[in-house]
Amino acid sequence: MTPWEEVFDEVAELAFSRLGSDEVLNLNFCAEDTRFLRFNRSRVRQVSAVAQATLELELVIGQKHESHTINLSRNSALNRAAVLDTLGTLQAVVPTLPDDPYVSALEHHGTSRVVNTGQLPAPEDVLAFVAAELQDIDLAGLFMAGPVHRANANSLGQRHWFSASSFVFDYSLYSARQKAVKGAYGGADFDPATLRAVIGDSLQALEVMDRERKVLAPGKYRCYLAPAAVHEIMGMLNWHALSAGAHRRGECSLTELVDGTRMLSPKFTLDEDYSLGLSPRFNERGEVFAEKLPLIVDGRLENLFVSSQTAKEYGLPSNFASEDEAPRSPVIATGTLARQDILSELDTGLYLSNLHYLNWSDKTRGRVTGMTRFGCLWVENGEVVGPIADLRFDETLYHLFGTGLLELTDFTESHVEVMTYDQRHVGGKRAPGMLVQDMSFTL
Amino acid sequence: MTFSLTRALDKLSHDADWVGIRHYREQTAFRMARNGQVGRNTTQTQDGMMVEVLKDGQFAYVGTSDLSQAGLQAACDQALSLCRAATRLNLFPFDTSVRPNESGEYVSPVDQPLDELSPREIQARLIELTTRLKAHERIIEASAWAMLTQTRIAFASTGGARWVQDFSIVTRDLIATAKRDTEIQRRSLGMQGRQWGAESLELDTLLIEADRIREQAVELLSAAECPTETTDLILMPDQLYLQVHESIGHPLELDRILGDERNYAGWSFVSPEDFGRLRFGSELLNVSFDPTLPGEMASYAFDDNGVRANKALLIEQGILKRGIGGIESQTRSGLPGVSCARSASWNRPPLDRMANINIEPGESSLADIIAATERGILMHTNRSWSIDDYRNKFQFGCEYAQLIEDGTLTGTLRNPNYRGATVPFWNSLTHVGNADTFEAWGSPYCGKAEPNQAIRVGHAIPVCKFRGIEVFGGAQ
Ligand SMILES: [Zn+2]
Repeated sequence: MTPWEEVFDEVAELAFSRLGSDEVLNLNFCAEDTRFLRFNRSRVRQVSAVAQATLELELVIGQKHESHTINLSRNSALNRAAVLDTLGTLQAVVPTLPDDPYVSALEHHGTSRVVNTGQLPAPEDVLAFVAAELQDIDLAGLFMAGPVHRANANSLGQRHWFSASSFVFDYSLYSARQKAVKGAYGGADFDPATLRAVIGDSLQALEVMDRERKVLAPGKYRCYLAPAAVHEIMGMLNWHALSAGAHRRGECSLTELVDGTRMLSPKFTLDEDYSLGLSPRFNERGEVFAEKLPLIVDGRLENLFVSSQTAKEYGLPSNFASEDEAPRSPVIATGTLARQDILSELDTGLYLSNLHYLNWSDKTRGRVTGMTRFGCLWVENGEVVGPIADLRFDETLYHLFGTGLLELTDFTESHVEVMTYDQRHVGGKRAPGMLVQDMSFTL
Repeated sequence: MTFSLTRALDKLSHDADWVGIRHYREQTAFRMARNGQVGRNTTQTQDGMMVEVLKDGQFAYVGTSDLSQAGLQAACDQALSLCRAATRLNLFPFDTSVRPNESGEYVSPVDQPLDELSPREIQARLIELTTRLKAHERIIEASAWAMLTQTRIAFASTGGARWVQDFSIVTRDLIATAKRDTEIQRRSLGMQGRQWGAESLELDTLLIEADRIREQAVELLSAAECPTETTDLILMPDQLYLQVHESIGHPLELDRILGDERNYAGWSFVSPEDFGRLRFGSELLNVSFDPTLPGEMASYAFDDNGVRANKALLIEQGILKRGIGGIESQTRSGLPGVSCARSASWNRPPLDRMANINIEPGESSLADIIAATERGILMHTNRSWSIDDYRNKFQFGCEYAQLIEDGTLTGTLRNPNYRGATVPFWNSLTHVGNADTFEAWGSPYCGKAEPNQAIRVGHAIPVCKFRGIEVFGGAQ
């Protein structure tokens, strides 16, 4: 099979050779070869595979620009025809558009190449494992495996390539009373023994879920949020929390923090940290973000994401954020709470393994609502009593990361992105667990 | 295209029990303006085929954008090898009865084809709209966007199915953000998607909306905060459609009830025994699956399993009758369903999706509903939504609300939210608006499935009133 890198280089060379002297072309490329196994009750509900690639061509002529994204394949003749056709359309349309006062000129930001390889399992390996070891268990979830590629190049000579081969088995297990725990095993090198151990941990966690369900009244509770629950709250930071452009447009969800009228806890520190290695550092313009940028330090805002578009519009220095000015590799710093002390420090309250379906109750004031889901427990005097009936919380980020934050754990867990809308997404995040007092539950 | 698809299918070499090819080609232009200037302009063309094979009771799907005969053959070979691997863990053995051999066509009803508007003309209108939206000193940001989609889905199978569907879809929005001191308020048209053509971007109509949106955004700056109380709640169609989507549509999906979605979108509080028995809502509640309503977002003639689409009542006078499940889910569960197996594009397999889920109009006019309200709150335009994985405990937020006292609208309220639980909420339904209040709304972004798929859904909804709902405001 033709490597996707060859496909990209061929169409890039072709497109760059057809530009007029006043035209600059920016290319973004995504590709994957993925096999998907979807499970219900530890059997196969659907099996599918894709070989897919997209190429975004952004043509810039002075202050005018437009982009067009097309599908590519490993068929060179079809690719060449599609690229020339699309470029021709752009060359006809762009001159007819009005000037964009905030377009910032494309530049040559160098070249880079990162290729992470792995030992991926064949679908047969995973099916054999599930058939041999999980037939007495009710498992639902998705296994996916394959290489994922991201690339950028422009007609000024810039070229960046990022490849990662990975697999993820994202699953949940169900008890006889239909209570559930969530688990995941992913990486670059598949090892059946590790999968066995990960599922073993989930099975152990499931035992307590079969105890009598505790129904709690709405109110304020002391809570331990496990790293996976913290990851969900971090996800809300993707919605304009740390975007310089959104702040200027009145869409920022941490307006008061950015304005300096409110702070988070001095224990709370958040970095954008590409040492996670899960996503490329270059953005859709091929600009390369810093290896590490402090966003919030000891509860105070240190940096916002500033894209080149925002920089041009509002006269700010760009830090080469992506166009959406959202975190791509955020990491919350650890605290001092040791794993063995979590239950005793929680004492009496809620142990929240996961949260679900978060959205704003009041966006500009950072107030968030959402549900408990998967492995949420009632704890009394440092002992697990049993699972809870699902509760809805409604609480501000200023409380969760600020006034309510008692301590963070001394360990972290990473979340590798498992989203697959349109294509497999890349990226991830890392967080410790959090002990929070007086978290509000409303329903 | 159907001719070439049929020929490609005939040329495939395989030992499958059944093969289908779905060719999905879609072009979406996204055009935006901000503050009287040109904004983002992007176009996306998706073009690929899903080769679907059935062998020994197991389906497998391989998507490819290599549309040559060799590309389709490679996809077919890979699909057969996946079938052989998966058969040992087959969840349910299917046969060709779940792939009927329908043929026919569907074309979106359009007054003026989308091609008649040039990118330059669309941009000019959007720019003018944002100039109008921004025409007040308190407006700090104004934007207008339109997403224009043209989709062709062609299907052919070894059983003899042959159909083509052509869709013309526009989703659009107008947004104004107002600010005074630390108070920020946002008002919009409410993202509205329908099957229509260039008539959806008729400038004079949209300029009237732009004036209203700008004035209401400014008005919200000095409005009272929505009170915290339990009161009567009137929901306009641009909020109620999402309430229907989250608390009726999703829990009625048969694949959720069968547990397929438990690891991602979630399960359902509805169980198989509830069909024909559960009092889901008050007697005024009639909910339909209606793929035949002209112009609604998800109208079509065939689902992606090739089953012809017809209207059916899901909830009749408050009683749950039928699920949202395609032919595979119906076969697995033995429950009544509808033709709703759909996929988001060429690269994903079809599964149970909502399409158009509507509330049938009732008898009341909006004026009568307001007049019959001693104290209550009327909410417009969704801005936030959240519900648990069984689709029970929900919370919604809206952009704009009005207080009702003694049968009269008495003032504007900001940051309105409400919460409740699904079955008690729908049983508190006291009024259903008449046909004059009935509006077709739709969204391109219903998310579900592993691997994930975002799909277009439509909801045509009258105004409705509910008794005794918890409402509350923002901040704290
Ligand atoms: Zn949905």
